[in-house]
Amino acid sequence: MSSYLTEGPTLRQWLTTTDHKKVAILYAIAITLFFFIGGAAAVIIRLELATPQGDLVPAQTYNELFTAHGVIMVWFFLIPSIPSVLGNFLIPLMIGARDLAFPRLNLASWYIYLIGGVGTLWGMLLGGVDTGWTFYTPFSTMFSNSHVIIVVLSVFFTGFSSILTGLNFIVTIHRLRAPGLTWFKLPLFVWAHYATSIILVLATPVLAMTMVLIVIERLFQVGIFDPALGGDPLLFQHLFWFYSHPAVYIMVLPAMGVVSEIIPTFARRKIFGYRFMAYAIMGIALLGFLVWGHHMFTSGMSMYAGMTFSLLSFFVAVPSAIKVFNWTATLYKGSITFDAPMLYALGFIGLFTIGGLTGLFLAALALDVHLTHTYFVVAHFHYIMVGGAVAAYLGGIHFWWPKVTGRMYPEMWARVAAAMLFFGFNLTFFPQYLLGYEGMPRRYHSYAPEYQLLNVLSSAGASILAIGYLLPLCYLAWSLFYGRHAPSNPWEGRGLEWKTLSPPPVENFSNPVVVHSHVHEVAGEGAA
Amino acid sequence: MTERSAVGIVRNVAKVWLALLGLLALTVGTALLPLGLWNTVLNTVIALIKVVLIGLCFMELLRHDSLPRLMAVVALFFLLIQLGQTISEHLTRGISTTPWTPPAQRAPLQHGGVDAATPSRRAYPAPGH
Amino acid sequence: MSLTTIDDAGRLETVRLGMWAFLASELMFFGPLLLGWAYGRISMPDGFAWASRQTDLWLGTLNTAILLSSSAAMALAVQLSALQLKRQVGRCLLACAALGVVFLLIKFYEWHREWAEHLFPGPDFAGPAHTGAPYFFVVYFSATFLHAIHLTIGIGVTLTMWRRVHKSLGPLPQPALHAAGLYWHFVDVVWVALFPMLYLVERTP
Repeated sequence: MSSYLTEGPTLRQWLTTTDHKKVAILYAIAITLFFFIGGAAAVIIRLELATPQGDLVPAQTYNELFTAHGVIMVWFFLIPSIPSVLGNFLIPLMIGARDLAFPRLNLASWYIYLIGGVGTLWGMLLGGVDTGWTFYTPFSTMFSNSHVIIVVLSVFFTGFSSILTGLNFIVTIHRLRAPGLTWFKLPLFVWAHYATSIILVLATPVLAMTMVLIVIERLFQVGIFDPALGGDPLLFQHLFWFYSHPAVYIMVLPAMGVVSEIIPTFARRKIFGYRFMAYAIMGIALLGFLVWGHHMFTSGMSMYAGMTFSLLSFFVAVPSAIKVFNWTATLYKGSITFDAPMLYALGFIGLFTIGGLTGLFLAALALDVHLTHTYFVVAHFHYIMVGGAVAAYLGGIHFWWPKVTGRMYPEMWARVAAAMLFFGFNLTFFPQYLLGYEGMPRRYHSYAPEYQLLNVLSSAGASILAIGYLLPLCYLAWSLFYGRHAPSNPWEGRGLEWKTLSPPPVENFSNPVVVHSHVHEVAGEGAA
Repeated sequence: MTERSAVGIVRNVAKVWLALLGLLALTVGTALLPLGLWNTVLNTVIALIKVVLIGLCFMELLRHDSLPRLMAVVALFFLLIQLGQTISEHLTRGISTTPWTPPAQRAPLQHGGVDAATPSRRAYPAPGH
Repeated sequence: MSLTTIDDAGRLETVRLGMWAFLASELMFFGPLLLGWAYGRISMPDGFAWASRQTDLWLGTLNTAILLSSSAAMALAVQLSALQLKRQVGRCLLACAALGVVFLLIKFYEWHREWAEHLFPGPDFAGPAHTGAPYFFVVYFSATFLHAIHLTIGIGVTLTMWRRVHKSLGPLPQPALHAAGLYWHFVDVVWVALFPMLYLVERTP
């Protein structure tokens, strides 16, 4: 039986495919491109910050750089990363389906994503945007002279690709599970994507409408958010964070799903507390919708609302802690091997824990007054998004690389890269916690000289990080041609995806899949 | 709920349609009475009844598949979360202020910014051009 | 293929679920407008009441009745399609789309009048500035315009369905009809909410 990679090999066939596996690859190529564009902006930012004076780029350019970095990394890399690549490829395999419920919609969502991405890049090339990725009003609508509208409309557009992906996953997971595969037999990866899809479907449209309102206020100079014209700037922040806080969970829930697959495999143990892990995923998704106000504590919002949002934010720690403890408990008495995916997964646990705990600092009303708008916040969310989500994405890419491509990656190089990324990441971002604690504000291209030492450390770490990201690009590309051929199940994984060939045939499985017992114990029949 | 004959279907839809038009007349009628805030309350209640009627009878939320019902309820729930948390923040904003709340929080600012350091507004053609 | 494939009844449920997930998303899409309205209604009640009185109550009511009737026609089309009554289904779809077009024409006329009366917010706004009246009209024009875009898409979808029904030789395309119907009813539901929000805030001072 021919693999999906050899079936329909022309460019035209790739660009019109509705095979979820090929769409996943299309996504992988696109987001990798955006990752390195966003990364390039970060490189210039770190170079500028190596010295206290603003000497490399002018302040305006600096503003445009961190905006480009934020916009591209959030909407064009992190949000689609794990769901649209790994989720797209694996969900049908993990539930024993032939494809997603709406394959053509899946392809459409890639094109929508691409058009949004090209629009954003076009806006950046025209001269960029200086508002920050948050587009705060009234600056973005009444003051900024940069290309706000084109970028805002591109983000609006891209939102629909998120919505369509989420919709597709929800329907697929509800309707296309193999006979016998009940909800509590599903892999946690699928649970995580189900929760993520709910957020994608319900939060993204709020961002979309908020972007529309920015365009209306900016084009017609009418007051929606501008207090001078009778609007309320806090209304914008409420709407923006109603999406953008849950967006953090769009990034980190799938990452948790990936880690929950990797750890049991390389510890050779069943995941500890499976049901609680599933409940915790749903709990995080729900609580994630209730806490957006913690981004607004110093905005002049009601202090009573502040107290409520603070308390609710602390609650998020409970399901998050359940997950961290259960991963750790899974390791206990396991026979652990430290293959590259496992290194990423272990790194994830540590970095996510640090990022999560420092999030509690920021959720505390009084402490937030000191720490907000400083590098402490920058460090905090990079620990979650880069140390957490990006690490898990890379871990997942390595873990399922044999399944996706049919080739093994070079293990030694992969371990070197994983170690470099862990070291480089901490060197880049841990100093930023200290800088923030000492009061260095975010979003300035120059700073007081006493902050230089820590900034130099951070920039040095960023250069290690840059090499660490380029390394997998090289050896993974190499392995496509020269890597060892992968067996169906190189890691002795227990999910359904390992029961079929590597790479899978177009139809995913050769026989009908029926699941009799827990996926993590003995998964279904129907091996190819 | 549904009779599976054409006449039955037409009769059912006609009943719902008449009910909707009746509710429309009711909401317009009460809107002409000076009830102040109660106008808004009545309007909201009547609109909700209409929405429920359309949802149950036209969008077939009572069919045997329960997932659409779940979707509708979940969406309404999160819409209420958004409205509820934001509006309650807005309503409690002025009760007591934090030290960093600007003194003129609620009063409309003068057009053109507060001090010299404020960046200048963009020059844009006035709407209508 | 014998991998989890679905039969026709299953397909209908799958499409209905997908459409409902989309409508859940659409509902959240209109959420910020609802929130913006509630913010204005609470913090600037006088301006809102004044502004709401400038809208045309009778045209608004007529349009609501038209849209409710179009929804009834759509419901008939979808429910009759189960009986394979091809001609009747086609007529209901046509009636539904026609009522949608009438709604749009009336809406355009209203916008035209409001524009002429300088009710579009901006420097030459005809009402009292700084009372919430311009803010009301921002919400009014944004909401009605976005609704009109949705309705235009709905008319396109309905006419496409009419063509499919008209040309179909076999059984009627039930899942597609249901999906089109759900979308149309949703657009109707949005208007049912917008009508009292925009036209009926405080008609009599």
